Amino acid sequence: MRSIEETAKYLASEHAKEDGGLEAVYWAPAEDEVHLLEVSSLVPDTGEVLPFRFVSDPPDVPYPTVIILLSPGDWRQIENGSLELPPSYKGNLNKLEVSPVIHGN
Amino acid sequence: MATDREWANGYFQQAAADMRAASDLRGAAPSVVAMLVQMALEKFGKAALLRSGQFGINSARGSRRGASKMVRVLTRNHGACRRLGYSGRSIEDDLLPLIYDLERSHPVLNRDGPHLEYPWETPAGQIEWPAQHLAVGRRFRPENTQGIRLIKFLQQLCDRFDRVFL
Repeated sequence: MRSIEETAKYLASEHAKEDGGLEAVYWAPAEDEVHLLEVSSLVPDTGEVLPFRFVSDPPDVPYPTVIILLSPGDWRQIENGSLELPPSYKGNLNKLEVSPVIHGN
Repeated sequence: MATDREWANGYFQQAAADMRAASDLRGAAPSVVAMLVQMALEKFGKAALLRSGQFGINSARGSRRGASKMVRVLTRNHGACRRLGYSGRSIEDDLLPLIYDLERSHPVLNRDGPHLEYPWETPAGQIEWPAQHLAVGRRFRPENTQGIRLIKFLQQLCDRFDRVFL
């Protein structure tokens, strides 16, 4: 079975394949769950940090997954402190390398 | 003191009731169906946020963009889409634009109108109202299948909410 970190990297690469606007993926280590934060230029600014927790989907995703999806504008608000992350994310973000993907028509 | 999980259940149950009302009205009053679908979407979004373990009731009460973000994030989750009987691409291409339009028509987000619930004044000084003039309401007329497809999707989400959100 994949580890939590391997699952985080797997999800990041899967999302990069599908989201041509994906600018960054961060993983916040947590016990028994995968916590990701993704920044995509395809989503509009909302001025809110909205986390959604999905059930596991073995074998590829054997852990529940919490995903926060932000626009670049909302991410800048996180960086300058005008928007706040949930406690499990705060000060706990590791940037994941996302392989560049060529998006064809 | 109620837990976030209990609040989530309350929002979910009321969203399910909104959906039943929307289904019962389907074809009879398109703008009212649109309003009920927007109300259900907002409550499904809040229920999902409250289930995350990262979002409290005070934040949920003030959130207005949870529905579109919930569906947008859902499209990235292959397992969740599969359990609902959809592909992420079909939700994104076919349903998400209508969800954004409904969300933007919330009276709080579009105070000057047009919106889903109250009359509004146009720049030319005319008074208009949802039943007659709301463009997104026309998408719920019987001959427009996009509204029907969104209602069907939300009924699936309602039936399988526990299989998608923890």
